[in-house]
Amino acid sequence: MNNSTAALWGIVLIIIVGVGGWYLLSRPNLATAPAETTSPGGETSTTTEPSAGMPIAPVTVTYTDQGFSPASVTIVEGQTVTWVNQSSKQMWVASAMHPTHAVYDGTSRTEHCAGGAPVSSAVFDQCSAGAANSSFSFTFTKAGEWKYHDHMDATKFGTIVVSGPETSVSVEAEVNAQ
Amino acid sequence: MRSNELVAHLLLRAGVAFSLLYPPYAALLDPVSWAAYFPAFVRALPIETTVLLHAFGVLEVVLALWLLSGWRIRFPAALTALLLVAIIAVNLNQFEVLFRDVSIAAMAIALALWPKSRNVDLTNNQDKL
Repeated sequence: MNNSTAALWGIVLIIIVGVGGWYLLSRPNLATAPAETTSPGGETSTTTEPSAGMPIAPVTVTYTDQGFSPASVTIVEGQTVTWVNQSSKQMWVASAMHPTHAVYDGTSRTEHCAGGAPVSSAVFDQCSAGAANSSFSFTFTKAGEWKYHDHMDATKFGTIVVSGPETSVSVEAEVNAQ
Repeated sequence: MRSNELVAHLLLRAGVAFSLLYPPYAALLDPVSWAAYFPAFVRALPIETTVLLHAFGVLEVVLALWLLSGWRIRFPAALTALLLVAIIAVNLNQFEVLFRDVSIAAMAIALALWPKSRNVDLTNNQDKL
């Protein structure tokens, strides 16, 4: 291997390590500290876990030209999130990943948006673009960390962390198994 | 060039070319999904995003055909690698989708680094040794 080839490989390695490192370091650590994640506008995330017996109030996420705010929301199973489009453009809230939107319910956009509307209430997909000042609501019935984005502008994204009884049951089962 | 090397070279070219040909084809069928990948600075340009999308598609098709031809392959291969790295860099939040572009960029770099004496093109499959 001559010097120029070694230099080229060095450049390639630097690009790969640089891009990889940048990506890993720029990711918010939602799993360990959801309350500390920030939105594109620098706002902190919202955690809305009601006390036992209290009604589960819906949570509102605002969509502006800067993105979703708060970018990360923590709710409980059965809670509804409403996205309000206060941007100057259309909004189409949908489950990750773009463009198939299959992460939340396992079906692709072409399957669960047949006819331009969600085929069931379990589909986390607006399925059409909503104009400015429109809104979209979805009730999360599955625990987990659900990423979403704007299908019209996939560079805008957010996360809904849904905690539920399944989580504590599975942890208890794991402890009992030991 | 030995036959297995020729096949390897052709597969690399075909593989990278396919990754360049599929997006413009899919963008014709579903432009909204593909235009959604444009970063903010591209959306801010005073040009319709659909026009930009298809113009970018033309660039991809040209690169793909150039790669397939094998003519002066270092240039389209290096341009493709650069293009892919740029796409990854401006869409890091989409890395779960774009991670394969790292591999395709590596394939393009392999083509760019392919020893000149072993270069081939579709019009002349003879070794240029």
